[in-house]
Amino acid sequence: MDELQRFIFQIKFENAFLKNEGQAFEDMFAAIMGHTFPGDFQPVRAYGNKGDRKSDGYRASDKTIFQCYGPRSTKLDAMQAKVDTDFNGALGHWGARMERWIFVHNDMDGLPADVVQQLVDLEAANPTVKLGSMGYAELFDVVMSLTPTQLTDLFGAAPTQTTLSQLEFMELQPVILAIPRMEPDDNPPLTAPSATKLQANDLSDAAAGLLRVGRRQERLVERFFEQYPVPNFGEEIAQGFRDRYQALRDEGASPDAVFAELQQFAGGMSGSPEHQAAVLAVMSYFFERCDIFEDHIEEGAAT
Amino acid sequence: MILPTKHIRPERALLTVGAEVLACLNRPMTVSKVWDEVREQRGKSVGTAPINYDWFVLALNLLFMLNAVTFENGLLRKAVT
Repeated sequence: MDELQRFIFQIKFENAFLKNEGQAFEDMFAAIMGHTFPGDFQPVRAYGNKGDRKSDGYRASDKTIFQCYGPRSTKLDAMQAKVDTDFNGALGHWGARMERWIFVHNDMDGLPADVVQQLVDLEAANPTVKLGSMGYAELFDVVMSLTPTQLTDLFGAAPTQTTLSQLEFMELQPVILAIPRMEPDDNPPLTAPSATKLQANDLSDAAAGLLRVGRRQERLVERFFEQYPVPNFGEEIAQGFRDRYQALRDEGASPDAVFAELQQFAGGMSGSPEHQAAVLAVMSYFFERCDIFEDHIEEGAAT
Repeated sequence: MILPTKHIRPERALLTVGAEVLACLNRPMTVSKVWDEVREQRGKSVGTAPINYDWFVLALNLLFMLNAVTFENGLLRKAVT
């Protein structure tokens, strides 16, 4: 799981934790624990007039009973009464099958001091059972230990950095769509891309060949930006390319890998030949203007 | 933006558009009248690229910052220097 995906799952969990109350909170808890301790944790549901035997879940390996409490807003009296009734009820129903009792709550601020004291007192009065509580922080740890597949099942899909970087540069779409429709240049430039710049950037012959193809339609890109009613549109697109190029360089990608990624960013090499030619024209335009890749600096040139 | 860049030709730089606004502003005018005049003038010269209204307003902002124009009672006028 990469950083972006982790961050999105964190937000999704926080959102679910804050939103779910009552039965929904219980269901969310059961789903999380079911994924974390498969085959060990059993959600306990009420069954007819027998109820749920004062338990919302049971973990067999350490004989733990989980009791959920997710009210819309916390009231101290109600919470204390809940702890008392449910713990003593579970004690009666589960007997020796219960060695730990965990109170699961949805209060972001943690438990009130009175309830913490109550748990300590109950444990002192019942030395055979260990008591504890689970709130946002404890559930967060449990959730973030899950695999992306499990998290996707719980909270829905989250994009990774790779999938995001594969997305095309949407703002560029009008350019890519317009180029094939423009009147072709009568005298397209046949000059090759700057050899020194290709060399300075360590680009392969194959990349140079693609740039040479792009160069034939480069003037159309220039004309498009010149005529576009938003004068700084070209600058904005250039900035998008500069940012993407910088990010790829910072990742330490090889020159040809950077080239391939930028090609993908500009619209990719799938689709109609016109589309592919437009992508190469755009690449060539920004390459020649040094928005992507490094400029060749003459030795001894004044800086 | 104010000056020409690699992707903004001189005739569309804000400084140039600002100069065109000043050239049109030979008497106090409403903003929409100035917009019409600037467009008309630009339309006369062959090969001049169009600009949108937002860009025109940015050029007006630049003129205000430079104290080159004033705006009173709904009318734009050249500042007295």
